[in-house]
This record gives sequence, structure tokens and C-alpha cells, in this order.
Amino acid sequence: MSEEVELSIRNAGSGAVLLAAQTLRLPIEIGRFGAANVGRISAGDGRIVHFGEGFGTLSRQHLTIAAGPGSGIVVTDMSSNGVSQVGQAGAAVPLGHGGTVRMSPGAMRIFETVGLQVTVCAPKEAQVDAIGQPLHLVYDSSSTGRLKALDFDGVSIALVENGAEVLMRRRKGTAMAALEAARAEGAACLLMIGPDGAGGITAICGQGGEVAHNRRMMEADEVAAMDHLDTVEIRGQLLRIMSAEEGKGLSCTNTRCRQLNPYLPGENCRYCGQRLGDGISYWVHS
Amino acid sequence: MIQFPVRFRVRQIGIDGNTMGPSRILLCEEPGRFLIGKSEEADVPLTGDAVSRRHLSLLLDTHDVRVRDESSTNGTYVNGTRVDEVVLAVGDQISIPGWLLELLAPADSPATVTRIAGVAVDESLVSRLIMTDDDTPPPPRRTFPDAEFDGKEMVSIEALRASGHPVEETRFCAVGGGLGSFVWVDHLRCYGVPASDIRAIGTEEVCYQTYKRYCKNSQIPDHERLRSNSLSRPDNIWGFPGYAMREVGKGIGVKGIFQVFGEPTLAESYTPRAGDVFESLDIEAKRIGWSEMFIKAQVLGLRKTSDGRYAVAFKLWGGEASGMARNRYLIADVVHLSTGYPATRFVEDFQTFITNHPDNRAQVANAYEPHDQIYVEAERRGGPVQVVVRGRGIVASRIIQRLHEARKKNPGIRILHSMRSPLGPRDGAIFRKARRLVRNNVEIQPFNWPKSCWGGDLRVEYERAGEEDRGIMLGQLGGTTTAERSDWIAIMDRGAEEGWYRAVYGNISAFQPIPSPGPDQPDGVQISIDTVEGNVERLNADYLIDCTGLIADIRRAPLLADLLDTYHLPRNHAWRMQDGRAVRGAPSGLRASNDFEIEGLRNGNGRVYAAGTITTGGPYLAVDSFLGLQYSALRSVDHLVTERHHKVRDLGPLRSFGGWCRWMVGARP
Repeated sequence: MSEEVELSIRNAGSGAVLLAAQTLRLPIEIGRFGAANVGRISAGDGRIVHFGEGFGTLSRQHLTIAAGPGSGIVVTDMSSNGVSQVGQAGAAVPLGHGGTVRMSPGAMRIFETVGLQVTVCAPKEAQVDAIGQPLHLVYDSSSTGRLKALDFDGVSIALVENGAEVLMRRRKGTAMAALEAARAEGAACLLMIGPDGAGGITAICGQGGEVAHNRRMMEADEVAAMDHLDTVEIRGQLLRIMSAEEGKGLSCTNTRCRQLNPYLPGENCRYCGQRLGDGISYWVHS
Repeated sequence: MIQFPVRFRVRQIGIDGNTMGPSRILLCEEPGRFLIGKSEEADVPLTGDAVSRRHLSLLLDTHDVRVRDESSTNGTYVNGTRVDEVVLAVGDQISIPGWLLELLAPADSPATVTRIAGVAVDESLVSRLIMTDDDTPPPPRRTFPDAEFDGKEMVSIEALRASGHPVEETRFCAVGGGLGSFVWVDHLRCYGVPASDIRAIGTEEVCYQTYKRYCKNSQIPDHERLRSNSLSRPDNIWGFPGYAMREVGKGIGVKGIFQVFGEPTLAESYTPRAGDVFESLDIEAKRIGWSEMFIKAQVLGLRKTSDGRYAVAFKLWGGEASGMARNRYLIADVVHLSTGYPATRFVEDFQTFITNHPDNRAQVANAYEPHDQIYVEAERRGGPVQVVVRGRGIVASRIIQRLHEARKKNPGIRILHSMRSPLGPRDGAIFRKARRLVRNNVEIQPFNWPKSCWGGDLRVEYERAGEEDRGIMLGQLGGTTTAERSDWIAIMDRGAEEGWYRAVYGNISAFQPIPSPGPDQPDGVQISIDTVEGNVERLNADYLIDCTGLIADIRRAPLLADLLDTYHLPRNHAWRMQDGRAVRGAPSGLRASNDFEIEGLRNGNGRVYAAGTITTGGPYLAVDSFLGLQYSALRSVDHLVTERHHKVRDLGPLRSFGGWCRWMVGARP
């Protein structure tokens, strides 16, 4: 789901820029405010942007932009005076009060209303290149006390039980092939994380009741597709999957949770509700 | 031959003789002498009153591992026998007061592991994860400020300077950076403290950003009204003119004017628009120079200093500094804590569902987290959509209003309002001779506390009461209520009449996902409700919106948990009546004096004050309201004036009038 949108506002008559392109957090509300009828944009992260005053014909809540179902965004006309979408041929189609326009990722649309031209660009979805895997395994190295990141280019990482310890070992090939090979050698493999052979990364649970994926206990031989900010927990140790393209994540400080969230310090953890402002930031560079 | 690294398991022992917290592994990578004790020079610093500064040494060479007592006061014991110096064998246990060290068998190091199951694997070893026996996860590794703060109640400024981290000094420091901090700083500025003597530390530049985010998520956009009084102005310490007067000045029509002058008897209570509150806060922030005082940073710890002040450890967010250069210390004479609610409440069944069914996360939401996509999706679908709303507080009322708005686009939306039990007109909470009004199973009250709790007789009575009586009053006067709004009552009445709103009673015992009924249709949720009659009712819903609120447990905030552990600060408790006597419940906020001082953190002339939800159960009922923040700021700043230690001048009638005039014209204090 898109979380941000790029937005700019011009005077429809003169073409003068009232608000240069800004990246703002969803949901967004455009409207007028105060005695001076200040044009005001209120973003989802609490940010407020003003774009001049004297907009008496702008409604208090004129236009809203929210995340749509799945990916993409939804623009809704909440105004009294109407909002029109400008088509490619220049024709303006009114949305009607309560009318919506869905925009797919990467789309740009122009809306005209009460002398303003609002340009909205829905962000493009991150493209994961199947050649050169961007996902990394990030973990606290117990010997150095520092964070380490391992890539998965053609290799899998096996977590093998060895007495009271769990050893992390590199193995060539896809996760499934590496797990089969490890089992054939008699190694007590608790978890194998590695390429799935189709451009993605998977985690395969070796023994049930030992490994949790995003806080949920996995069953033996269960395969979980791994994505940016996923975590696997094994006997109190947490391994985090991060994308070098996305770069950054915030770890929850609730000791019962510790999951990795998108780098949005004002939000709360999506797994347990803890405020992320106190979280520990993790990042990985390509 | 001794194989390196030599490993010891280190455990902390509580006064009951049981182990406490996670065990840690001490790795001695090479031969040498390792000093253990309370001293800062110790290689392994251990805390505890009975641990000597230089307690014992571990002597490691290639032939043996020995332990030597360093003339400690309370002695060193190996397997229960007091020793001066002795050679250790694997499994031997060294005990000193409060700690147990066990010599472990050597681990298979990468150099010694050559084959597993007959296959050479040396080069493949990436790392080893050291496990602990207990369930508690290992504490996060943090060099800052643990190297200077960990296990210490008092730190010296010299030691902080010697750490190499920048050390700045100020007189007043507000920790939190939200509305509570802003109101306190606003009071200081209006009392005449210059901006250069104040620092406010928080992670969000705009003081109302977190509050606004919660408003937005719970469907209160800028043009909607909050549940707050006209005179509760966090941007105006005088409270006059209130929001209502300001709104009258802008032109609100005859109906609006009638409400302003007729409330609360002839009309419903006036409440301000969210956007008006935010706008006036922006203006006041500019007037008092908030941006000059504000540091965008995360506060990691607070300690008393040996010179009667406080050291605040913080990590800068953003800016040019990176890595360790972001870590700083701020030394302050007076500190104010207002860190707000640490988490949204995920009740157990909700938590279980999102843990076990992450793919169905979009079908359930807590009302305080972003969930706009639920309304967008429900509006777009065109067919029947069933939404369960759990809770009967003000957030539930607003969510039902939002769903009612969504019905204009999709009349197929049905609302199931889940409540624990029905509430009849005579079931409202009773306080002495008063009984709360109940409409549609929901208790109605203009604000979240009776108005006299803020500044009337109930405030005085509550402040004078002891801990137990305070707890009982809190239970009787608080509780879940919703605002007195005729439009909300009308929505429920009409919905029940037309059949698209239905109240269901009982405890939700479980959620289960229901697979998608068809392409382009989202999955659903089956909700099991243990009804009041003892049956289990199963409801199929498309979405569940949980309006059970925020968590006030201060232990969830790492900074406060550290303060509680380090200084053993007392806490308030919830109380309830059972069989005619008061029973103490769970701990709530930090215990504070009537002037909102955390007396357990007093340090010479240094003072720490607190405000907001972290003082729940303390000297004031409505701590997390706008007026509650103003009241606590007023009491704490007045306390500073009375004590005369910190050069805060009294704000007498003339100075106050002058200050108000400056506020009216927008002049800097």
C-alpha cells in the first residue's frame, strides 16, 4: 500500500506555482482554514502545509487523498463547489460530491477546482530486480556486538543446532535444496533461509515449535515467503530481513515484540501497538 | 591446555535467591587478568551494594583458569566455599553477593569444528548465536549511554565529559516534546524564563503531531470537533478568550452563537474544531520561540548528577551528525517528563489474530492506527459489507459516524456494535446522588470527567484524599463514556430503526479468518462472542474496528522503565470496591506530589516534574486532558517560584495582565 504521494498546486488561470511539489504522507486533506481563508494541506503524519490565503470558495474539507485498497490511492471530492479531473485531451470531468478517482501506482492526475490546479502523483511501487537479490539478513553478532548484514546472492543461510548454540552456516543453492542437503548430512537444521529459485527469498522451518516468523510459530517444513522487515526468531535471537533498496527499519522496543517496522518514528508498531519513537533503527546499505 | 575463548555464564541473583533477568555470557578471548567489581576500571562491572569496587580477578593463562579474591569486603565463594585464590574446573560456580558466574565448557570454535556428520563445514560458519536458558530476550546492545549510566544512580559531569560525547548545559529541560512539554515550556516562557535557558527534546518537530495523528486515525479530521472545553487552551495559559469566542468572531451563524452562549444547559456543550486547536498552537509556538528551544532527538536515559542536577542522554535525529556523533548529554537543573501514551491497546484476541493471520491484517484495525483503507474499500464494494465496531467510548461513536458517512456511497454497509453487556437507562455510573445518562447502551457525558474534576469541588476533594480514596474516586468518576452529541444519538436510533445498526452483547472470545468469497472480494473475519446468556454467537464480518483505546502502562516506555528500575520509584495504583472494601489493583502512573514533582528523583536543588498520562492516579483526575496538562504545568512552575532555587519569578496580577496583553497582540514574552 502506498504511504506517500507527491502533490503540487498552481493557479489555474495564471499558472503561477502556489505550492511546489511536496511529498506528503497519506491520508491528505486539502481545505481552507481560519478567518483569512488560508489554503491548507493536512498530511497523515501531522504535517500542515499552507499555500496562500483568500480561498473563500475552497471548502473546509475540499479534497481528500487516501491510500486505496491494495496498492494505489483514492482521491475524493468533498467540496461544495466541485472538483474536476482534467483529461489528457484537456476536457474536465466533474467528480461530483463524494465522487472518487482511483489512481494506480506511478499514475499522475490533474484536478481543477475553484481556480486551483492540483497535480497528484501516486508513488511507484518498488521494483525488486530478480537478478542480484536486494534482501539481506541482519543480525546482532554476538562476538563483535555489532550489526551484520548477509546477502543471499546464490546462497542460503542455515541455522543449525549445536548443543546450546545455534550456528549460522552458508550453503550454496536454493533454500529447499540446501535444506535437503543439510538433512541428508544429518545436521539438525532448525531453519533455512535463502533464494526460492523464482527471484524471492523464503524461510523453511526445519523443526516445528522452534522458529517464529513475524511472531507466529512455524510448523515443520512450513515455507514462508520473506519480505523487507520480516523477522525470524529462534530461541530468543531475532534475525531481520531487510532490503538494501528500502534501507531502513525501526525495531519495536517492546521486549515481547522486537519486530521490525517501516521507518516511521511517529507511528506505532503494527505487531503490538508500541510507539516506535523510542525504537532502535536498523539499516542496510547495498 | 585451555581453549580460548573461555566462557562464563553470568547470572544476577535476587534477594529471594532466584536468578533474575537474562543470563549473559562473558567471553574472555585471550589470556590475561580480568577484574570484576563495582569500580569503573573493572573489566566486568557488576552492580550491587555488597559488591566491592575491586572484588575479584579472573586469571587466565594457557594452562589454567583461576579466580582470586581482591580483598573484597564480602568475600568470593567457589562452589559454596570462601576462597582467596583457586584453580577452576568446568562447571565451577563463583558466587559474590548478587551474582553467580559459572565456568562453561569450551565452545566449538570455528578453528576446531572441522566436520559435522562427516562433511567439512569450517568455511561456511558465519556466526554463532548464543542462547540463554530463560525466555526473556537478551537486552538490546547499547553502548550509549549504558557505558556511563548502566547500574548507576548518580553520575559525575567529569565522567560524562571524559566519555567524549558532547555535553551541553541548560536550566530547564522538557522531555517528550509533545503537548505536555509544550504547555510546561509555554508557562515557563510566560513566567519570564528566556528561551535560551530552556530545551525541549522530542522526536517530532510539531508538538501536537502525535495527538493529531491519533485524531486523524480515529477519524477526527481538522474540521471535526474534539471533546474539549472552550477555555482549555494549551496555547493560552490564561484560557481567555476561549475557542468559542474566537469562533464567534469568525462568524458561526445564529445556531452557533446560541450554542456558545446557551451551553451546557440550553444547548449541547461547545467543543472546538481540531484544526482551530492546531492552528492556535502553531501561532503560540512561533510566539514563544519553540523551534529555538526544540531538539529533535530521542531521550535514552536520565540520571542524577553529583552536583545536584540531572544528565539527560539523547540521540539526535536527523541533521548532519551521524553515527556516534549523534549521542549527546544535556545537563539540566530542572527536568519535566511528559512522554504520553506508550502504545495502542491490542487486546489479547486481537493480538492473537494478527500474529496467527498476518495476511488478514487489513481486515482488522485498532481505531488509533491508520485504517482509512477499510472505509475506502467498504464504500467501493457496492454490495453488503458488515463491520464490527468494538467498544462504547467516544472513538467508537466517531467510527460509527464515519461508517454512517460511508453508507452514503454504499448503503449495503451494516454495523454490528460489540459491547460487553447491555446498559439500560438506569444502569449509568452513580457518584453520590448523580447518575450518568445512558442512551443506546452508551454512557453520555460532555467531557471525559465531570466538569468539577478540573477546577471545582471534586478537584479539591480528590487532591486532599489519600491514595485509596483517590483510586476509588478515579474508578467512580472515570470509565468509558461518549460525548453528548445529538447527531451520534440520531445515527444509532435511525440505524436500529432501519436495520443497519445492531448492538451485540458479550465478550469477544476469538476471531478466525474466513476465506475470500470470490475474486476481488477481501477475506472476512468470523467473530465468536460469549453472550451474556451463556451461548456462543458467531458473526461473519468483513472488518473489525477495535476502539479499546491506548495503553497507559508506563513500563512500556523504555525511558520510564529504566527510571523505575534505577531509582525504585513508587507508583500509583488502581483501586476498586469489592465486598464493601477497597482492593488495590494494577500499578498505574508515577507517584507525584501535589505539585507534580517526582520526589523520588529529587537531587539537592534539582527537581523533576511530570505531566500527562504518566501521572495517572496522582494528584489530579483529568491528567491527560488539555486543562490537565495546563494545571500540572501551572502547579509545577508555581512550585519552582515558591522554592526560589531556580530564579523563576512570580507571575503576580500585574505581570500576568501584561503577559496576557502580549499574548493578545502576539508579542514575544
